[in-house]
Amino acid sequence: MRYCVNERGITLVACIILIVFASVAVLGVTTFIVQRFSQIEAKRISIAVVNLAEAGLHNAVYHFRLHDLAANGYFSLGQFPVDADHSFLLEATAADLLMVNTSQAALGSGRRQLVNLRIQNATNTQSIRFDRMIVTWDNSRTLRRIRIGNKTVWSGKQKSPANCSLSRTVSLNTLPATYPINALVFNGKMDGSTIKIQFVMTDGSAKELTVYPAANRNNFTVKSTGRLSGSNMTRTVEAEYNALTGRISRINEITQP
Amino acid sequence: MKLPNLKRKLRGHVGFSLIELMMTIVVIGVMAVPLSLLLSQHIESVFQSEDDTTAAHLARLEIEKAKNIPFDQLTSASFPNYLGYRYDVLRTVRFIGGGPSTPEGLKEVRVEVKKAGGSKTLVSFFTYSARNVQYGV
Repeated sequence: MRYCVNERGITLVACIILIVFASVAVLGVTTFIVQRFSQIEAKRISIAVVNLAEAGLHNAVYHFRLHDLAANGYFSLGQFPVDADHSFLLEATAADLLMVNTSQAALGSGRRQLVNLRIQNATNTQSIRFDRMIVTWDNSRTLRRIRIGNKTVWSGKQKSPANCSLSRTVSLNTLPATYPINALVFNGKMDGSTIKIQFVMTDGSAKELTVYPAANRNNFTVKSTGRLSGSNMTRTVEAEYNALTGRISRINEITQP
Repeated sequence: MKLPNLKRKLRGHVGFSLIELMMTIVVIGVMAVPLSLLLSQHIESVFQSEDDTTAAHLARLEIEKAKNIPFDQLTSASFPNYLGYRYDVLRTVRFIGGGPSTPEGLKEVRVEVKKAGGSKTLVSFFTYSARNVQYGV
């Protein structure tokens, strides 16, 4: 019975410890459930925003095709609301927006000139400009001159690859118009050669494509980002649309959820 | 120990256990109210999270199905007890560009999921579908 002195308050202490344990357990369960909830919510938002991003792509293609019925196709860049909480953002670099129609590309004037290329700006929102062209081909001929919009923008004598800084910046304005690349003039016949051009835009972006032999290609690229108000989560989908075939030739997500 | 000694030792300690017990009951009582409320909320939220997860999956599935429906056949529809689940799915389709007879058209597709017979929308997804948009090289 001499231990009775040290047992004062033992019941209280034991119960307080019990309460502390119970509180920790409840807190643990709370944390787990809150995390589970936030994961479910994040997943729901993730699905919602990727659907919105795809909505943006369809919106861009629809408007391009709609305007293409009357004249030349184009679409607008920027943020578009679906309703008060849902929206998508359409973006593109200058290179994305540069359309090069290679379907009529041909060799002219003694088979020494590449002719009948046409270029176009895919949006009415902003002008696009390029001031350098890197031309490559697979024979020993030299490139002598480049004419765009009925003006000579480069002349010289370069073997492949020819890195041509243009004497004047080529600007494609917001009008839905096409512009001719009148000729790439070589010093000999170019039969059997594959010609590629890399257009270097003034915003630093670049677009490289094969321009000869002719192919059914007149592509633009658009990036669409889905947004939901009250959330920082976004997802961006990029698609390349070929205006000649009417098909989305490439689509992929460029930001992971 | 002899009885007189025990009485001497316990003098002044009488009633301690009772007071402690009463204090403990009070403390537990005070703690129990918010804890029990929290616990009931947890149980409810577990069921809610299950609803939300299932609803999101069903909405996603219906959106994917809608994307594969030919443009002209893509119309509004309601699906009570969707695929045997106790959820109602409502697909609302409307033209936001062009129309049924125009060469180009753009439809908004909205998919909402509710508990079967319920009025609260658990999940709502949107997308657009344009006429003549095809995929492939």
